[in-house]
Amino acid sequence: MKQTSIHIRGLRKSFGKGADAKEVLKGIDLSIESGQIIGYIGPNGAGKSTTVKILCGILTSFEGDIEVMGIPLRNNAIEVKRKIGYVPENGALYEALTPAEYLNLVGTLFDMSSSLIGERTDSLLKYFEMSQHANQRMDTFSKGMKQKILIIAGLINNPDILFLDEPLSGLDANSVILVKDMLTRLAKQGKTIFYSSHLMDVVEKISDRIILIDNGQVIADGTFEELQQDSKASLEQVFAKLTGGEERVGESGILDEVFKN
Amino acid sequence: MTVIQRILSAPLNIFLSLLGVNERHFKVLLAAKLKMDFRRPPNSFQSAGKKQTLIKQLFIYAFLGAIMLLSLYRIPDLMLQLSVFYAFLIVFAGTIMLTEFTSVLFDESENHVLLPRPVSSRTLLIVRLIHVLIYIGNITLSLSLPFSIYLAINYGFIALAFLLGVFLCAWFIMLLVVGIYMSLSRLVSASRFKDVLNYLQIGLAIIIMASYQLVPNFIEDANMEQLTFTHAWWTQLVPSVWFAGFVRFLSGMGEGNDVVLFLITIGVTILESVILVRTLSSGFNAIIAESGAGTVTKKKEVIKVNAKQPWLEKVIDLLCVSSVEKMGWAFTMSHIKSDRKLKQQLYPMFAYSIIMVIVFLKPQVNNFGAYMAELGQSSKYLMFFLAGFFGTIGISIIPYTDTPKAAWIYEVASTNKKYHMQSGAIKAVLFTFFLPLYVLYLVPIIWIWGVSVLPHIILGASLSAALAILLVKLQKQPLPFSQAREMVNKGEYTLKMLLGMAMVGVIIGLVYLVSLAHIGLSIGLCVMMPFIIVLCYRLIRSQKVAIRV
Repeated sequence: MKQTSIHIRGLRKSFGKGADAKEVLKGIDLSIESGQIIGYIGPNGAGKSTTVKILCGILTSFEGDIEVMGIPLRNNAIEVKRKIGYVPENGALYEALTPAEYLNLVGTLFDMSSSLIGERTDSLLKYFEMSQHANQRMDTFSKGMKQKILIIAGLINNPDILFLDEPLSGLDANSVILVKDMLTRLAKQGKTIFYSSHLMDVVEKISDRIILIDNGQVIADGTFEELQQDSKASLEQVFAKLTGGEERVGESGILDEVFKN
Repeated sequence: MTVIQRILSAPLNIFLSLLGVNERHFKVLLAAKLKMDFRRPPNSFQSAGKKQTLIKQLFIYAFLGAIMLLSLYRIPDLMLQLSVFYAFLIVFAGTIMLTEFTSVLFDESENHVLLPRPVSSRTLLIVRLIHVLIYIGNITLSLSLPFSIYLAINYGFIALAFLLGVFLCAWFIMLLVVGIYMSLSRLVSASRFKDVLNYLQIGLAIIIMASYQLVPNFIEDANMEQLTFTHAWWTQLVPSVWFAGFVRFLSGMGEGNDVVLFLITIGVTILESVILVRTLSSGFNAIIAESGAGTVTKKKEVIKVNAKQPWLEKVIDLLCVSSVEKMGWAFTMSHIKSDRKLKQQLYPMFAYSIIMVIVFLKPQVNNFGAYMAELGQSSKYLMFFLAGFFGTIGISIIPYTDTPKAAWIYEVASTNKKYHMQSGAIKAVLFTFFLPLYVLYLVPIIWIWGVSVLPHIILGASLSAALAILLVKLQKQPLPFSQAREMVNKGEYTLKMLLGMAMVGVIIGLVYLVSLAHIGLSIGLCVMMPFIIVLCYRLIRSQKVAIRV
């Protein structure tokens, strides 16, 4: 029997207070098994990043109960953080450092030995074809190169769960293939992959289970085939249907009006 | 690590373990931060590196310390000299902590790097505190250097104890300010904290500045050459006296009560550190996490932003010479309204301005009539120029932002009027902050001195505005919101403020001389001032060589 890696009950999160408060998550319940690749999708502002930030211990105030690898997140955030890796959407890096310096910093924060940090850094940089850039400052890197370093930093502690928030942003086609392959391999090793993205084709291909949220609530949860409901629709079409995107296409006439003069 | 390094780092290790800080995390984070502080951006075209910038700044602080020594030199009593100096240092370090380093402490830009990693609140807070201390320590040590040389020449070894006292004093005031911040965080939620921080900063600025006024007032009223320090029960409540006693005791020159002051200094500093880090630090990660999280625009703010102010639009149309200049005005004001770090630097300054007025006027409740009559005969209204100059301070912080990359717009904009953005920004600050401050001050000025001084006030205000505009040109200030906020630039803001105020001293002298002549001269000069200000703006706008952003 597979272990439950993430267990969420009644997760709610609001920003602001009183009359100005905005509820971003409105009661999310989820149970995710180890070794699964979860595609976490939803329109802009649906609450995807907020969910990921809460699960990674970045946001600490929320309502509800969360257990990560059997550890209650509330009051045990440090312990939970040791077991996870996080790949944020955009360059959350110390760009004035080199990849070697940055990865040493991240590894040290996970209390890894210097030799282990060195070994993993070398191997992962090699895997992502970044070895020759190990000692160059990252502020000279392209967006894709920075994204690779973010992915490596998310993996350096050999996490049980890897949270990825738009990880393919800025990567070239070869690197996308590399990351997709990597995610599949990691899942086979028993790691849970929590993959939040807008790129439907990637989510469709790699996910064992797709969770669609809209307006802070889970509106669909299942395998791609289950979400298709016997149709031959792509995930993009399923997504548009469930989130009202099909209706919005009709409003595109606005654009013609804007550029008429 | 060599044996010497181990010995040198031993006290730090003991200190860290006492505070319950993860030593390895602390060292790797601090090393990374310091490394980044001094790495020049790859596309930087600045002639001087960051180290040179810092050294230049520290040199100017040492010069200011030398000027301060001139007033300390007149006090014959060592204990009193030290007490006055430490009082100044407490105010100075407190001010710089409030205005320049508060935003560093609660910076959320590295949330995605640090918060998903297993770093404790305690470690993160102490890393940031020590990081800030390194800079505040550098500045306060530079400021103290001339006095320490004076002490070394006259008293020998005491200079070393004095410098150690300076370091402890900076640590003490830093922890006090941060302790108050963190205590506040216990009373309000993490998401609400960032909203109330500005008010607290202003409150603290008033308390720090007001408490300092006890010392110079006391000295001013007495014959300075004959002043001596006498121990009393209440002197043991004054922090600057603790540090003075600490220095005398440590250098072997201590008298009766100095051992108590020494113990108080050590005890308070340790207690403060332990309380802050072991008790109050627990919510630190939550504060920076929630500060960096999505914010909800308040409904009334939406209404405010959307509301058209026809009168203001007319004023902007009248004062701005081009559409780019108008854009510079609007762009600057929207930034100031939405950038919390900018507000954290700007708003405490208004508290200082108002406190300064109270200090100059020294209101006396007893015998109020005689006091007012005497004040009306004096030329103290000239001192309002100093208080009013705080209204121009915003100009020096306009270039700095957390998103300097967005300044690519200056590079691609199809206009040859880039510097109209600069002049528009200056006009916005002067109109929004400087002018209302003077209008506010006109009430007590006219009440006390009558309308006859109005030409002098207008002349002084106009000269101050012209000076503020010229300083932008002389200091080659970059375009608005085009530069990253760097640690090595911290201290520059306070420095500019001090240098600007020194120049306002010249304006005070000039207006005083003019006030001695016929009133017609003042009125004539006032008539000329708009032309001078227009010329100053032209100087700003006419810059042809783009400062690379």
